[in-house]
Amino acid sequence: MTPTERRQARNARLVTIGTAVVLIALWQTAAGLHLVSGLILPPPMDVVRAFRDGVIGGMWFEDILVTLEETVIGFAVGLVTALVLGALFAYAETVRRGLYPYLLALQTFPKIAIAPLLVAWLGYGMAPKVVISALLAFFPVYANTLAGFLEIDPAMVDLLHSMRATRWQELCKLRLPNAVAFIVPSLDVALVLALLGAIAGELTGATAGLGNVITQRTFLGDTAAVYAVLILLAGTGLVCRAAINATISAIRRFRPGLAASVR
Amino acid sequence: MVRPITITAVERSFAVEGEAPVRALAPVHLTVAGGEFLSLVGPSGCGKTTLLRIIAGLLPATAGEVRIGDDVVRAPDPRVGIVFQKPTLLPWRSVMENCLLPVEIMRPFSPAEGRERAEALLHLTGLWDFRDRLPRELSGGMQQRAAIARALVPDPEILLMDEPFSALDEFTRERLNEELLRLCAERPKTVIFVTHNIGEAVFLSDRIGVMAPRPGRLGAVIDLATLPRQRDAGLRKHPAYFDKMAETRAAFDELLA
Repeated sequence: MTPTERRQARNARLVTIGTAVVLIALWQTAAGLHLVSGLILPPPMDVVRAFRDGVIGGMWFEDILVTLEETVIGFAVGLVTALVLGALFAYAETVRRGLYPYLLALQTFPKIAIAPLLVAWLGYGMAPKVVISALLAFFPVYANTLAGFLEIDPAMVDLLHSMRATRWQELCKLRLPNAVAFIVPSLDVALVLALLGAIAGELTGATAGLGNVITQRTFLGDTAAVYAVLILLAGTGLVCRAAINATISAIRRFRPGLAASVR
Repeated sequence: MVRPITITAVERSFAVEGEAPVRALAPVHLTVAGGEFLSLVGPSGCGKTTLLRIIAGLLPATAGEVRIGDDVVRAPDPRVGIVFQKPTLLPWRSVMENCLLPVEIMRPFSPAEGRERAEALLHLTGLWDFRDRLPRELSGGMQQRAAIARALVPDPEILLMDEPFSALDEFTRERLNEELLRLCAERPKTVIFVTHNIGEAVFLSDRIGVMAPRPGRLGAVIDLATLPRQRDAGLRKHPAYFDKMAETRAAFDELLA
């Protein structure tokens, strides 16, 4: 790093920390001087206390597990469905074209809107949350899987044809590794969407989960706890991202080339 | 035994919606002797790549036929190696793994033998120290070297090359031209080399097929048998080399007139 770059990095860090300090100071001032009602903006210390009781004290332990479980199952279901359909449709051109209008409609459709219906059908348990979660996680992975199988340098297809590769060899040696480079970057988007789906489902109607905590505490007027859950969710999103990045690094270590075109 | 390639009345048209088909290649007649190095030279759109793809079995001819020995080409022949304009290395495979791809797919010999050949060719192309690198870590010239090594690993009887050095700077190109001749001398083989560079064609070839566009067609075939047999950097300063360049240019002028 040159001195200029080092100065720049230091200044960027100052901006990051400074923003937090200013925001918290404003927050403390507004809440402390009762400029805003405590029901809307509880003082920072109340939020810290709620966070400590709920997260570190283990009061929401069950809810965290439920939300995580819904997210992970929804993500896994969406991922596997997307990979299988993406790979199949890459080869079945007629079916892909025939079903395209429906997939497009489903893709552009605000899937969260069917949450109440799903709860009515499937009850207050995990099932409707997993379904929404999977629906949301499905599309980014599906689109990238399809692209990964279809967007291949035609010269590489020629190369394999010139070696008289069978379709199976073409799939294993060219299309699959090519697809991996497309799919991996879609995973963190899909995981964050899976979390969104789980929360949306819980907000609609649930007996457990962080979305349920938000609804309950809002009714009770315990805004500090709601803020604490939101902070926890922000953290969860970051952890999801980190998990995907760790997966990419693992792939890179295991097969440096496979992740060559990934980021 | 290296078989001759016989091209008889090969032509190619491309369908265009709502219009008359575009004629990419007017009937071509050409025989390439076994072990010969033939270049096809011409400007863009003269059908040289189309002709090469037909010979490779990657593109069917609209009419006419290509024979390798007595066999009519209908699909890619495993005894034919191809080097494309771009290196076309699989980005997730190391240089060595890229060179082993034809062995894995075609199984021309046992994996151990294939590995031995790949190692020998990586030594010959000066890529040995880079065998575990990924393609993107290599310069353009080195990538194209790796592509040539890969094409040579299965010991093809025929090597088809489609402007393999067109993306390289002049100095790298000249060095790779010399290297290519050295590599081709390793085992007897027929080479058909497409280029738009006259100097390169004269330096490398036994004969040059001069091609012109609209429609793509083969004009004169220039024989370079009178050039000194020793094809090294010295040839580029030899008067006979300039004579042949001039003769090739004259053939173009006549064809394009």
